[in-house]
Amino acid sequence: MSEQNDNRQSPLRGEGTEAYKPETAKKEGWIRRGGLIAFAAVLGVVLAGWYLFVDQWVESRIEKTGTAIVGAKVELDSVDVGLFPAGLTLNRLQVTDPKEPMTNAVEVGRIAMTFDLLEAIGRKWIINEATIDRVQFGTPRKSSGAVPGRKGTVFEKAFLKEKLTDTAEWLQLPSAAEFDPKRILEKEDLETMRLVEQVKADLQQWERNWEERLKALPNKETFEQYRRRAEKLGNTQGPVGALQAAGEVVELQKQIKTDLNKLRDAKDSLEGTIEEARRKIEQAKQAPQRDLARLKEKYGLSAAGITNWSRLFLGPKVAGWVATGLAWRARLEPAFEYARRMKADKENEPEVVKPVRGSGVNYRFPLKDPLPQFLLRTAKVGLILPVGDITGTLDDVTTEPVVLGRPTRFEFKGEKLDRADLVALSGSIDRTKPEKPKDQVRGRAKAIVLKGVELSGGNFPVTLTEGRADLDVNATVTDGMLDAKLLGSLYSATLDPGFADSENRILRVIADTIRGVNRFSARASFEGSLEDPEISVSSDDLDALVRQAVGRLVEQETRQLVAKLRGAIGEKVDSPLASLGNELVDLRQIREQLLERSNLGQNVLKDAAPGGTKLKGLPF
Amino acid sequence: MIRQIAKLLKVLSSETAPAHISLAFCLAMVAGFTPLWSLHNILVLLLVLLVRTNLAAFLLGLGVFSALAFALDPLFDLLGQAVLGAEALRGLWTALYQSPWWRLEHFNNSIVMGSLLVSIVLFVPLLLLFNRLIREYREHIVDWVKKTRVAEAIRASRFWGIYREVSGWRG
Repeated sequence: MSEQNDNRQSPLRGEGTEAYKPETAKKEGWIRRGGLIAFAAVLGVVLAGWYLFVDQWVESRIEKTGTAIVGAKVELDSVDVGLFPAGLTLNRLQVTDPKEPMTNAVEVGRIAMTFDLLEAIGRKWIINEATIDRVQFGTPRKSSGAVPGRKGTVFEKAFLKEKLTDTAEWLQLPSAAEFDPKRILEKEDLETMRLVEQVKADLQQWERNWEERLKALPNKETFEQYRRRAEKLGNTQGPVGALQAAGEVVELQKQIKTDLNKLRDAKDSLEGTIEEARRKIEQAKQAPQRDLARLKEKYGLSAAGITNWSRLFLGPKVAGWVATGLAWRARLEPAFEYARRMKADKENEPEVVKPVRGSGVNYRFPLKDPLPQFLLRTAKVGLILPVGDITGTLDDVTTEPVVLGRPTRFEFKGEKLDRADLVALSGSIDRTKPEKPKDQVRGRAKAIVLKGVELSGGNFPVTLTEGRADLDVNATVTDGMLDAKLLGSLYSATLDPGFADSENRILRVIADTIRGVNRFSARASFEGSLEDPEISVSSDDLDALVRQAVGRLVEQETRQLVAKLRGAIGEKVDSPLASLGNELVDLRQIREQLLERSNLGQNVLKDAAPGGTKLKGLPF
Repeated sequence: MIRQIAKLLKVLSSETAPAHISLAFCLAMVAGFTPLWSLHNILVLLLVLLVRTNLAAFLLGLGVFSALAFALDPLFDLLGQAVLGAEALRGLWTALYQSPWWRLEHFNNSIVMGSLLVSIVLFVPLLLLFNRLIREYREHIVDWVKKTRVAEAIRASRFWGIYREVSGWRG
């Protein structure tokens, strides 16, 4: 009703003094004609706003979340979100390699997917079908993808670095030509010298002890006193005096015997000490042999080194492949950690999930057909690899495999490629039982063209100038235990050993042998815990060739090295060993003194015995 | 604040049927007590626009009930937890949880459940009460208010200007 027609104005509305009569409500219908239009307009405005900004919002969310997970920039050129049908297209996704900010670990040309809109509104991403096109690895970036303040996630397992370092140290072993025994002995702690010093110190200590003890033992003066006493007793006059003297003679004999016993005990003890000293000296004399054996083992070229030559120059490359594989596995690990934390919706009791304070708590009730928070049912993938373009599928990619109950599977294959006849890769990532995760991968390649591949580095560089290879890989990681087997054969190969000009004769022979190799097969296995697996790399063909070529030469070199070492050790230890004999002389002199005192004592005792000492005044 | 009071007085004194105002207040209670971005609030919006409710009353009520909800959230939370955790009702909730629409409604959130229950329970009683109060206001209180010194003072104040400013509005 307009104001002009209003004859019953509210007293607060006008200035009139007429009492207000409450009006009866105007008889209007309950339905507002324009209501539906207004509702549609409101919804339209909301939808238009959403449609205008959703692309940027999704792009920003993906970039921020991805960057936080990877630790380096994750970027998208553009995003297109569609509603009918519900879909999402990501154009040029770049994931920076955290270790190399100027390189993309992965670059994807285009990702197009359709998803379940209703579930998406409920914050579940159920992607029914996706196309992941033009996937490339290790592409260069125009600008750095480093995130300030973040060092990036290091995915490589430390054990492989350690293992590779071991191999590198092995490569650094001194060659026979570089061997200088005197220099080695300067830095080596010889057991012989240690023993000589120890024995010397022991002998000197014993000598000092015995000299002290000798002072406390009866000596020449002691026995001379006994002799004088005996003679005095022999001069005793008269029967009474003689009888008295006889008692004293018995007492004197007793004292002499006691002293003689002390000397005998001391002599026996000294014999033990001398025997111990002899044993230690003998031990020290044997030590040079042990030193020689140890140094030969440490510095010499052992047979083991020759028989496992293939590990020397194939090991680093193979270990590098496995490290790369495990690094990719580690990159995916955070996604599966989520699965480990989740409880299955199949549980009977409703789960209470506590969100932020003030937002209440969410109850999760068991679902008859539970769906994970994220599920990519199937994706067609196109990979651009150095060997050529291959295609494949990814199935059941989810953050909650426990809920889905199926493992993630992948399968890629390419035939008649630019640089290979066949490349095939398949496998699964099974986290349906979080307490026992199991990942499997099987790969095959036929006639891969290899050019300029650096097989090993350090002092023993070997480059595969060109060749073709067949590879077969089988790897399983079950509950942190790795079991990987690689079989490979190389043919039509040209190998270029970088140490062909070495001064070492053995290396020169090995280089000649390698240069003549144009085909060989090899196998490798990695077994045990992910942290410290047993690594075995071998090639019967290659090892046999090298062994045959250099076996005799190595023996000869080893003999020469042993002779040189023996001479150098002898030069160093002979004189100190000989001086040990002199130290023993002092102990022997102490023994002579003890014998001398003992003989003197025996003589005095003999003189003091009945028949020896004549007591005057007695008839006997 | 003054503007809001002026609006309230304007609405109460308007020619709009009391039921339209009461219904607007009650729908505002539902939208205000429960989290705004809930699925059921789309239905509330549809009803507000389609049924002849007083929009000014709705907007005013929405502000008042939203403010009240901040204080009442702990109560809603307790009530929601009691209801969602009740053994006897678990079958019902589990059945509802199977539907994505119901999950979208977030009925499984304790505050959504608690506030929605309170709104539904209070809806009809408050509708009747508001109806009664509006009628009483129009029949008795307006005259009394007009005669008070306070009203005289108000007419001489800034409030009067605002009231005049909004007086052209119609529910």
